[in-house]
Amino acid sequence: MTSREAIETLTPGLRRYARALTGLGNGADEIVQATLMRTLEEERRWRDDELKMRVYGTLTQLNRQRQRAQAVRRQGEAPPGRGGALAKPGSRRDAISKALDVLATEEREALLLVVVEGFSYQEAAEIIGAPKATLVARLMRARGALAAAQGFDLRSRPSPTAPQRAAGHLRLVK
Amino acid sequence: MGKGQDPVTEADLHAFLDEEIGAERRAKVAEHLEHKPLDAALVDTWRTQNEALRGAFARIAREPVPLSLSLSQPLTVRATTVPISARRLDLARTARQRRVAIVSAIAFLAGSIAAATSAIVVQHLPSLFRAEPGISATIGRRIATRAAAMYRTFANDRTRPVEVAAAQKPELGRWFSERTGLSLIPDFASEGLKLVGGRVTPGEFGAAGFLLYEMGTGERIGVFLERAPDDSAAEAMRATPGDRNTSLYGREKGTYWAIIGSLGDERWKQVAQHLISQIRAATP
Repeated sequence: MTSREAIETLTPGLRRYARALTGLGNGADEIVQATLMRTLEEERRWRDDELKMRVYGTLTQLNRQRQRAQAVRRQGEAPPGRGGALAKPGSRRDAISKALDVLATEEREALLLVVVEGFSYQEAAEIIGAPKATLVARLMRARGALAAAQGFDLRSRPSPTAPQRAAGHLRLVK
Repeated sequence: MGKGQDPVTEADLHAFLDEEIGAERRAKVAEHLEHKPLDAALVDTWRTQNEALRGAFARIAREPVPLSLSLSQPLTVRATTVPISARRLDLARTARQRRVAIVSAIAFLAGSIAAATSAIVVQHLPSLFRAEPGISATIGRRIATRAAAMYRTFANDRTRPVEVAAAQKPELGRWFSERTGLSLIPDFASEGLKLVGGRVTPGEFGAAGFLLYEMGTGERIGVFLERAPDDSAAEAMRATPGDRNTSLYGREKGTYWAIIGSLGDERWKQVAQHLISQIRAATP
């Protein structure tokens, strides 16, 4: 069995990932607990380098299951986004955290794994169980959607106008 | 700069930012960005996003790990629970003032996300629910364990399964109210469950109530109710499997509740939902 110590060092990062991914606030810890339990149950002992990707992969899967079940319960309603929509009104959330709500789950996974959790493209691809090209595509979509949600309207095709570097809002007018 | 030969793509820009790019390609992108201000602005936007994301969530990784996630403590039942901070556990232990709170968490049908999470775990990860010695439970699981013990002790007692029978329901209600602060004897007639009776029992924080209900088949269901010593928010339902019986437990409006026995899935939902709504109605 995987050592508890090995798992414990990963727990803080896992909590951070779960919080950002699910938007559940304190409730995100439940998914972390389920993840830890499942990992502990596994007969196989994971090497330290494998273990990190394994637990992140498990958490990612559990969250997807959770959202699918939510979808089942809410047949006919809009597709379930992040739990953030059901967060307590008035709860303090950064603007970026609210902006994450607009992303599809798979986009959010890609973005958080690479940017916040610091995985390489290849590692993140393994965690989500997809080819690297898929991971990159989702990351790109996530960044574009997030930028759009935050009031940016940038297009990648270069144009001779608007030469300033963007530090804040930048509007592209063709 | 070879014009038109392997032009810089958007994917390159991302790889550049994320340092997922080879040295040669990197140099090409860097030069491209010198001459393409809009693309440079894009990369700047994403860089700013990165910083915002990391900043927004960094503190979570710095927080002390909640007790429920600490693996150095032994757990008695493996089940997901809402994490309870160390401070809340201290409050629970001292428990000088118990405010009545009937927690009725039958959450299969409740809309909360936490409920959805737990329901998912129950439905999709049954392998989680195996009793394992040596892990300390959070309050919810302790209550479920306590309730299960009561069920084992009383449910099939031929002589005296209950102290006060259903025929003396008002007396039962007064007794409960006086000792536990609970003013509710739930009714499940609409689910086909008849009240047998109940008794005051030891609870986690003080005195609790334990009720038995009977199905047409003669099978019995136990319902455990105890007011919580603090008024934390409702927690979702959890399920823990016993040997043959399952218990559902949770917390609603300050009351811990647990249902023990074996019911079909549909009936569980109905009873649970009904219990929660009765608790809500009874709690101001």
